[in-house]
Formats: sequence, structure tokens, C-alpha cells
Amino acid sequence: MTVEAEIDDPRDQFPIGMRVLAVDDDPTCLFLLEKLLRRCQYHVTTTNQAIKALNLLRENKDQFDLVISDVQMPDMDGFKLLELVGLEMDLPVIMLSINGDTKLVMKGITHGACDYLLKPVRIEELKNIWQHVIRRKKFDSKDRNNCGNQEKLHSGKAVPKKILDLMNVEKLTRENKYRLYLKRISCVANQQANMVAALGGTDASFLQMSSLNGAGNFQTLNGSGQFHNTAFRSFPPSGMLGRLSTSAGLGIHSLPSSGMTQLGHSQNSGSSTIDQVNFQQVIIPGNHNGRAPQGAQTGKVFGNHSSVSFASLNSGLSSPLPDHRRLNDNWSTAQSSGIQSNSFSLNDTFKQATMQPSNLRDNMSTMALQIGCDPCNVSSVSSISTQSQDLRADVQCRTNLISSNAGQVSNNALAQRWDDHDQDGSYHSNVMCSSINSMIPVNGTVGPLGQHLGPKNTIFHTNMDFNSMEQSNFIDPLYMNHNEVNKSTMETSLKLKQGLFMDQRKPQGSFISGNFGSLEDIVSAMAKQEQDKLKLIEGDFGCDPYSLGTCM
Amino acid sequence: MDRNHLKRQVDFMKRSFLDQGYLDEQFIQLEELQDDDNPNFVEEIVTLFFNDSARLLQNIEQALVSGPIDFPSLDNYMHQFKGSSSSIGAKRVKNECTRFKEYCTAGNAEGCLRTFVQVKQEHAILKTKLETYFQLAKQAGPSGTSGGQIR
Repeated sequence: MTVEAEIDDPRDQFPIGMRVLAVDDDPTCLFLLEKLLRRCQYHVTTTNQAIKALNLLRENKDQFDLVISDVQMPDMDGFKLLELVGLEMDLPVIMLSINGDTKLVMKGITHGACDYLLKPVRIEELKNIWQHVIRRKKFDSKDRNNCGNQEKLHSGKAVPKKILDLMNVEKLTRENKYRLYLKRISCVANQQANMVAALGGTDASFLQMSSLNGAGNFQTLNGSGQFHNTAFRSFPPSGMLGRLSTSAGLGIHSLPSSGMTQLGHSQNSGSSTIDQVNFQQVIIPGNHNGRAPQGAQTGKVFGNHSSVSFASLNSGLSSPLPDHRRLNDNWSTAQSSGIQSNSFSLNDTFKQATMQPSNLRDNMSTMALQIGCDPCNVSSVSSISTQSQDLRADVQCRTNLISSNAGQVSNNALAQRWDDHDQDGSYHSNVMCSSINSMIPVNGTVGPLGQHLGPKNTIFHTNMDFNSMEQSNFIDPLYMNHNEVNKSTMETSLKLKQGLFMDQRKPQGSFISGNFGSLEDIVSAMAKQEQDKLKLIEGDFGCDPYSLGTCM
Repeated sequence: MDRNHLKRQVDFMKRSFLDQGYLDEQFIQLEELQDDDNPNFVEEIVTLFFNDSARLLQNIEQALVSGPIDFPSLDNYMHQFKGSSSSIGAKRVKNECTRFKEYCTAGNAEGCLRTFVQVKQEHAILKTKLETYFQLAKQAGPSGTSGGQIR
């Protein structure tokens, strides 16, 4: 093993110097593979035993960027090695085999391989493998941020396992895999959340929505409870929101608040909040009765209201409140698929945010702060409960989550959507204006944002699914469901997508687009689908996002 | 002159290998990988293949003649053999391996034995041909990279 002393230098010239661990029991193949990899200017370590490979990896988790392994080995099955590496080290693993049977390839992908190459390997194929490292890193960093926060905040109620059970996703048979998946989703969700935040969220509507479900909480949050409810109903809930409503237990309200918070913050701080938002977390709880991490967030969220610049939120808030009915419908659908729950959570967050329209204006700045510093990310989301008190907190968290996700991922995608759905937004804006002006607490903003995020989240989720699918296909079922959700969310997002937000989001968007090009494409596609759907739903909302901005 | 002539001979030989199906494109890829760092890369990997495959063939033969045939383990051996032969572009050998695996999967012991004979034969033929090839290549000198003359 020729380990170079410096690891940093090669990293700067990535993919040159990428550290690859090659495992193959056949000496001829291993020799050839090593030569090919070196020709690609990677830093190569070889071993002919899977056990040795595992030991090497375990010794120092940061020693390698990528693992390439043969499928058939005498001491350990290649798929087994693949699983272990994925679970323990979370490194991208590429499978190699002379056998290209579809079944084997499928097995590899479902076990988590990020690629499956056929022997004899060509150098052209190896020249591109570094992409898997980049992809994995992008998602992982977000996951870590999210997960970390999540664990802190999370009351422990909406743990991945629970969600998994609830979602009853077939392919996510391993908790870790699910966790990884969630990480990916949360990253996306965070981005979405950010985006939503940028948009200004359609808080009022969102909050209303959640409040409808949670009843109690809602009132607390909104100064103009009535208004919200009304607005809420009138707005066609984004697919997600609708779903959320139905799942009363989901605690939608919690989502909006958190979401909003984040949005505001993200707005202010640019992309910083995005990272903070643990979209993932939001997602998880969404499904299950998100009980917002009430205690913690509430304090934070509200306290900072005043300082948060709510500009973005306002616009977001204007987004139509998802139709309660629809939400219910959507929600149920969402529940069916794990993904939906995720998007739902975002929506929830938003909803909650909207719940406090009165404070929105005042609290925009606050929200921004809240979002930024709110650790509620995922945990809060998960705990999103229908209880009102926590709505705020939840909203904040959610907002954070949503905004981060939204911001990151949806920037580009949302931009597209929003433009398309201007008409949808009009309705919302009307509603929002009135309500928002008066209320708009920080949370409020989250709501609309949440809404935006909702659809976007779904979109992102979809994207995430796509991405995850690329890497490991256990998301398939979710993905399918997601489409549904996405559609609904798309609608919402479209409505939400405010011109304001889009502009704000640009900087973030550019960042994101670079990373999520594929997502955006997917999102765009989805957006289009949703647009159609939205048109139908639009009837209810009729809000013009732009008008909202005006109101604000 | 002499060198050029030798080089042409080497090229001709290689082309005939390709035409007759002893070798395939992969072998050309190997030659392209040869560079200053590894001026004898192709020869090295081919030598490695023949050494390792000899071991494998022995194992297979052992499994075939001793007692009841364990098809799964035979399949495993052959799988590896097929993998390494495809890595160096040994086309005919690889094809025989595929046939062997088919009989293995079908549980056809006689088919396996027959095909195995073919595998060994192709393996031996290729080995001889490549040995001649490399000798000639050495005489012709390195393929344009380093300057030394190798006689």
C-alpha cells in the first residue's frame, strides 16, 4: 500500500488523487484495475481479500473516498462487503463483475452500490467514478448537519425506525439505509425549506392548515385565527398539506413554525441557514404526527421574531393556504409513501408558520433569526404535533428545515415552478396580505414557506429519490409515491413561488443548482406535472403570489 | 531496419491473433496502458494471468476427477477464470469458459469434462502464442517509448 503522506493536496485537485480502495481476489483483474486507476491519476490501494479491505476501512474512516469491489470473492460475498461499507463507513462502493445479469446488477444496486461495472473494465468508465464521491459527500454533509441537530432536538418520537414502520416502506429494510436515505432527503428538504423561506413562505395558509388539524395550536399562533382558517380552507392545499391535515395527528403546525423560522433566517443569512435546516427531520415527523419539539423551539422562535427580517416570509406566506380538504386527501396519500411524509413535514412547518400571519411582518426578522438558530430541524419536525403550543416551535423548526432544503434544492426548480404557477399564487396573496399584515409572527412566515416547501419538498424528495435511486435503489417505492406528493407540493410551491423569493434565492440557487442539477431537472419535470394539477387546484387558491408580494 | 521489420512482424502477429479470435480488443487496451512507468505492463499482466490460471485449472481438474462433482464450486472457479481471461482479452479461452459454466449450471458432468478439455487446450495454445509474441516484441524493441534496444 503506497499511502501518500499528504491527503490534502490531492484533494485540491479532485478528482486527481482520489483515494480508491480496490478489492478483487483475482490477481490478474486486480493488477489491471490498479493500473487503470493509476492511469486515471487516482491514489490506489489494493487488496485481494474483503476482510483486509474492511480492516483497512475501519482503521481510518477518512482514509478512502471510494471502494471498488468484485462481486464474487472467496472470503466474503461482495454484496456483504458492500453492505458493511455502506453501513459502517458510508462510502460509495462500486461493484465489478464479469457477470452482467440484470438480477445481479439489481442486487448490487439494492444493496447500496452506487454503480455496477462489467469486467473487463474500461478506463473511460473509471474516469467518471469520482462523481459518486461528490454526490455522496453532498448528501452526507447535509445529513450530518441534520442528523446531528435532529438527535439533539428530537424528542425521540419520530425516529427513523418509527417512521419506517409507519411508512412501511418495503425496501428500507435496514434502519441505516433508511437513515441514509432520510439524510439525503433531509438535505433536499433543507434546501427546499430554504427556498421556501426565501420565497417568504405562505405561512398564513400553512399555519392555517395545520391549525385546522391541530385546532388548538393554531389559534395560539395566529392572531387572526379566523382569517387563517378561512384562508386556509380556501387555498387548495398543496398536495402535501392536504395530506397533512388529514393526518391530524401529524401535528402539522409544528412544521410550519420551524419551517418559517428557517426561511426567514435563510433569507437573511443567505445560504447559511440552509445547512442548519434539517429538512430531514421535518420530513420524518410530518408523517407521523409530527410533534414539534415544542419546548425548545418555541422559546427560540418567538423570541427572535422581531429581529428576523420577514421579507421573504411575507411573500411566502401569501402562498395559498392549502385547502384543508385537499390536504387531507393529499396527506393520506402522502402517508402511504414515506416520501410524502417528508414533504408533508415541510408543509407542516410552513403551515405553522403561516399560522401567525399577524406577526409575520414584525417577526420577519425574527424568523430569520429563529430559523437560523433553530436546531429544531428534524427532531422538531418529527415531533410536530397537532398541539398548538408547539406550533410555533414546530414551525420554526420546520421552516428551518424547509428553508434549508428548499433553498438548496429548490431554488432552481422552484423558480421554474413559481413562474408557472403565478396564477395560483394570486389567491393566496390576497388572503395572505390581509392576514399577514396583521399577524405574521415569525412562525407565520414559515407557514407559507412551508407550503412552498411542501411541494418543493416533495419535489426535492423526488429528486432525492432520484438521487438516492441512483445510488441505492431502496427508495423506489417511496419515489413512486413521491410523485404524487410532489405533484401536490408542486402546486403549492408554484403558488408560493414568489418572484421575491426567486430573486433572493438566486445566490443559493446557484449553489444548489450546481449540485443538484439532476434534481432540478426532475423537479422541473415534476413541476410541470404539478402545474397541471395545480391548475385544477388553483381554483381554490387563486392567489397570485405576486400580488402577495405587493400586499406585503 | 531490422527493428522495423521485427516491429512489423509483431504487429502482424497481433493482428492475426485478433483476426483468429485468440485475442480481442481488451488486449489492445492493455497495450495502450503500457507506458514509461510500466514499459512491460502487458507482458507482466499476461504472465500473471498464466501463473494464476494454471493454479485455477488445477483446482478445477481436481474437482472434476475426485468424487461427485460439486457444481457450485466449479462454477465459482470458472467464474474467476473467466474474469481474468477476459481481463487480458483471451477471447477463445473466455468463450470456452462460458460454455463450461453453462454445462455446470445444467449439472451436466460430461459436458463439463468435455468443455474443460477445450478450456485447457485453448489456454495452452494462447500461452504459446503469446510467449512467442513477447519474445518477438522484445527483440523489436520497446514500442516507441524508451530508447534502449532490447535484444
